[in-house]
Amino acid sequence: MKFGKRARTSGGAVEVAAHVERVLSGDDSEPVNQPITLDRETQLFHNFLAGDDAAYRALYDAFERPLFVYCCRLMPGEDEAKDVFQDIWVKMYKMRGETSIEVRRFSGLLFTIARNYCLNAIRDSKVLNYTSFDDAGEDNDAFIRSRDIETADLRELLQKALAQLPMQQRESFVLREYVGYSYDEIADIMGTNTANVRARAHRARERLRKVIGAWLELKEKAN
Amino acid sequence: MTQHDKISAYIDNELSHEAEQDFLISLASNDGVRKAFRSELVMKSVIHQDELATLPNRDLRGAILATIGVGTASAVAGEASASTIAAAKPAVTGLKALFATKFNALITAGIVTVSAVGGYVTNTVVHSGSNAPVTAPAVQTAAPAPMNTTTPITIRTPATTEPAAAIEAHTKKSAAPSKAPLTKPTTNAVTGTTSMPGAVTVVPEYNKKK
Repeated sequence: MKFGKRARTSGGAVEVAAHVERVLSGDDSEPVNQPITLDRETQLFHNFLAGDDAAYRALYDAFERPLFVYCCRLMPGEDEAKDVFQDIWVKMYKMRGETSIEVRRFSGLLFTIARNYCLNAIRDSKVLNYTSFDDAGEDNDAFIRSRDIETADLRELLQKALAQLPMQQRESFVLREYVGYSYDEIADIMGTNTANVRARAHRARERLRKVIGAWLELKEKAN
Repeated sequence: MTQHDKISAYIDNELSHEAEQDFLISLASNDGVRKAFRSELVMKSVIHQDELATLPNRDLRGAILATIGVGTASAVAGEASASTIAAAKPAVTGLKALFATKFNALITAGIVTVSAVGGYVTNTVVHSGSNAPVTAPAVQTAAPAPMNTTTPITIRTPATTEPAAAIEAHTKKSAAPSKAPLTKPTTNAVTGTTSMPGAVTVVPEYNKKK
């Protein structure tokens, strides 16, 4: 099992650049294998795999909030989100017994597993009647015209508008705006390229901005 | 690139210097761009509020860690009990430690006995060669019992004290009225003195006949 495509990709790009530089300078010697510098969370995860339970608790403390937000915003209800959240952490703990795990970046591994669990749970619960995995059915004018926008407060309105987004847009937007990952990191997690992720996040942001703009206009007219 | 795309790119800090200048000029002049930008700022604020408000409760955390077996509650309880034990340890006296087990008590009693016998023998050997007067042994005062002892205190009465029954009998005896008939005083016909029968007549030395 291999995770951390971004680290390998960027590492490969660096290697290619270094190779080009060596060729241009006429140096034919083989490069010395440099040890890969792991970030703190990944190092903690390796400690956990070696049997350190305190490292697992430290990872839990560090990723508890962003992972829970991710699950809550992707799953249709909070109870389902809690179930998936629990399953993810149990799965992470069971990885200790697995062999041949090569992890270059823990956060990428965690959110990739979280994504798979969320998608599986959504498929199993058959709640796809209001969500779609592709970008079809993006028109949310009906939602803007609904009475929800008049009665809901802004946070509730945002949650409802997020739930109306297509799955991939929602996921890109949540990972970008809530969790704070770069487009490259999101592309690693979602298994796509950076341009796709950027386009999805921009579309999601534009649609949410329209909803909030409509709410602000209504409030201005009311006042 | 539409104005909405420019707003997103500006938020993501992806615009070049010239493109950013153009965007800021359009923001100042275009009412629609200004409204969209305001919506973007409001959305950022709401997302931040939503992120802060979406928190897993402690029960969920405890359930997950308990399911895994890492366990927070048991670990915390264990740490608490360990700290309690550590805090209570200084209160344990050395005497309690010595007599904590029967084995320790036996060892301690043996050491005390040996040291006492050794001390006595040493004292005897040292003083046997000299004509030093025998001095009274030093009075050993027992250490006062601790205030929180649970040993009942026995009050000893001195051996010379009369038993309570004797005291009571004596009191009754002295308090009981005498039933003997009153005797009349007798008069000595020779000397003319009057005395009670049975009374001892004390004769002064100088009146005794030699």
